[in-house]
Amino acid sequence: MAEPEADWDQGKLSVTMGERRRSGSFTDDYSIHKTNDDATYCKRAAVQLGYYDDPFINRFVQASSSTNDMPIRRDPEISRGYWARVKAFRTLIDQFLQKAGPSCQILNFGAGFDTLYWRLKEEGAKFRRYVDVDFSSVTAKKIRMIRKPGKPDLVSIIANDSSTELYESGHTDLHGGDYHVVGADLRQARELHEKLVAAEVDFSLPTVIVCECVLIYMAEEQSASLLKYLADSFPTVCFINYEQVNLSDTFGAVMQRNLNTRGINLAGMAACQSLESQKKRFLENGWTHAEDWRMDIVYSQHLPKNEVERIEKIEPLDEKELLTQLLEHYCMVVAAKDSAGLGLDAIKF
Amino acid sequence: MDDSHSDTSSVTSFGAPVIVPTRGDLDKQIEKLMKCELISEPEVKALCSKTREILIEESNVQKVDTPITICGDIHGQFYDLMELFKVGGMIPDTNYLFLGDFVDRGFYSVETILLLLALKVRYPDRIMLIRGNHESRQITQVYGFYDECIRKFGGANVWRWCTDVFDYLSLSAVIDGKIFCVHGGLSPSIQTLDEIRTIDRKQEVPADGPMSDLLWSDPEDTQGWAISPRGAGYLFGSDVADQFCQSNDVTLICRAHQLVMEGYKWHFNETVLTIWSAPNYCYRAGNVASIMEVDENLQKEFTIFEAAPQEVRGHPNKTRPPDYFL
Repeated sequence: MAEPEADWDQGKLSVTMGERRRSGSFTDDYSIHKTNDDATYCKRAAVQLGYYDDPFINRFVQASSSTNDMPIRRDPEISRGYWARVKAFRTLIDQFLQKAGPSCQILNFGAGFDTLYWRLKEEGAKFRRYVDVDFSSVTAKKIRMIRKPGKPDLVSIIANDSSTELYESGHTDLHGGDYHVVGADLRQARELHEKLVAAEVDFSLPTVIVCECVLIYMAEEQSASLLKYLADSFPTVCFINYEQVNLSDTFGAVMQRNLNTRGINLAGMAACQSLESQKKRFLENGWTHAEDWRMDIVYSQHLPKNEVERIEKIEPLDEKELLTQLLEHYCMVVAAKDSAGLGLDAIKF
Repeated sequence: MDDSHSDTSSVTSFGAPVIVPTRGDLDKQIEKLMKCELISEPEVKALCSKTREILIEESNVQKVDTPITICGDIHGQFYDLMELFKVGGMIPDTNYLFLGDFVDRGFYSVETILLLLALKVRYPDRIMLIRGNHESRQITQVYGFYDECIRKFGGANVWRWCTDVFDYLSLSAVIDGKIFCVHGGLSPSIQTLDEIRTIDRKQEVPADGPMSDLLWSDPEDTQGWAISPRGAGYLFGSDVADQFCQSNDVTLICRAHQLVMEGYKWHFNETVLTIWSAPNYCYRAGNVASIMEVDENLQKEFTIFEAAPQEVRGHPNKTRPPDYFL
């Protein structure tokens, strides 16, 4: 028996996706998918050099044919920046887990091949439900990689007792135990909602949404309606956003040009002009709290000093300005709506 | 220009005798390299061997005459080097002093260094190359030159020959006895130019000590010496620069090594100058670049230039797009 969302996938959705791609008014979605590959390779490069531990990342790096144009080496400022991003997310997520307790949910929007679920499980983190959401073409690949035999075994971490069974629908969604991965276009509210329901998301539970470089690829009104939908749907919710900021200078113009040549249109740049505009997008769409930090500040003031010292010894950085410049153009935002009074608005660096 | 560099009798420490390029060979190689096309591996071997013979004759503090155009870091940004020649004039019509960091980070380190070496062999008195901190075996394995050699030649030979040449590059230059030029800056172990002359430079850049400091140090708004955040070299203050100028009867310390968004930057009441010649560094930074022409009266003139437009750059599929956090 076909699931309703599978029908949606195979019928109407593929038609509308096709229309959108042809219309030319949207970024080439395929290019956005490639940003996931890029992030995965960069993270793997950092992990291999010992910037941080992620025993699962290798399971998500595709066979060598596609790595030819993706050399393993990345410049040190890129590895340092990815380390800071991963570390900063964990700092904030850990605070959420502590405040929200074991009945909480984690939604990873635009998750790509992120290994967060397995890293949290490995460390014994307690949560009720974890949902990875991304384009169905990405989730279909992720499911194949999860199911592919290898070490560490990803399936056995999801199905950690014999009663848990994994089931797939439409090759794009996988459900098992407390883990779900669903294919949805975050710009399509109805589709997203149906997929969250299919993933058994309980809208009354405290929920954190993590989002790494995702909103910037959608038009400002699309990300605004997504944020509004979330604030309307979840009474107790926290949103952790990592993405570009201060894009109105030359660096921002060069970034836009460079990404355009890769087929990536930063449709949501307007909300990334300043820390102020990053906060405003939440406060204007139903969120009661928003605070943000530029990554250069996070790096120099809020990440553990001994850890910074350790990773800076891994590779010498010949030009510190290159790292500073990058970090000045990324930020972390914590937004919250805290009806249950769990103190989600106190999650901060 | 004399022809003494196209003899065929030389035997080098590269092992078997290598074929020494004739002037005609060199002109053909330069023509190819100017189009960002590679020359053959045997040609590279011969070119490197010949370059070493020329460099070995140069002093650690090479004397250079005006008029001359001084350039900072290039970092394998081949098409931007073409822009540099466009605004500065071509060799041998213009005399050039390059302050090091020819390779790493850019997409065309191989073509860039081979072109500069070919020009050096063809016109040894028209182009002076001094060593930067990236002209090192260790650093080129982190920042791309090594990987690029492997990718473009299928092995490490070219990297090995080029890094062998790096060991012979001079450490500094003095223009008309008045402008001291070095890649990075000063060293607490060096007070006089004579002390630089006593360094045995024919080696890999050491982790510390005077030779390393010359290639790694930076000026800093401070007095005296401070630890460098780069993990090599030192930060030196205005009093250090003043003292060095006075002791050595020079008026200016001209160096590169640091990205400056405006292409050049004066420090300490114009005793130290940074010149940066890699526009839009790493294809990402959004900076302009500059070169400085010094005439016979030691008058200085800066020319600012920007990155080569997209149309004149190589096929985009041959290069990896600049990295961001995506």
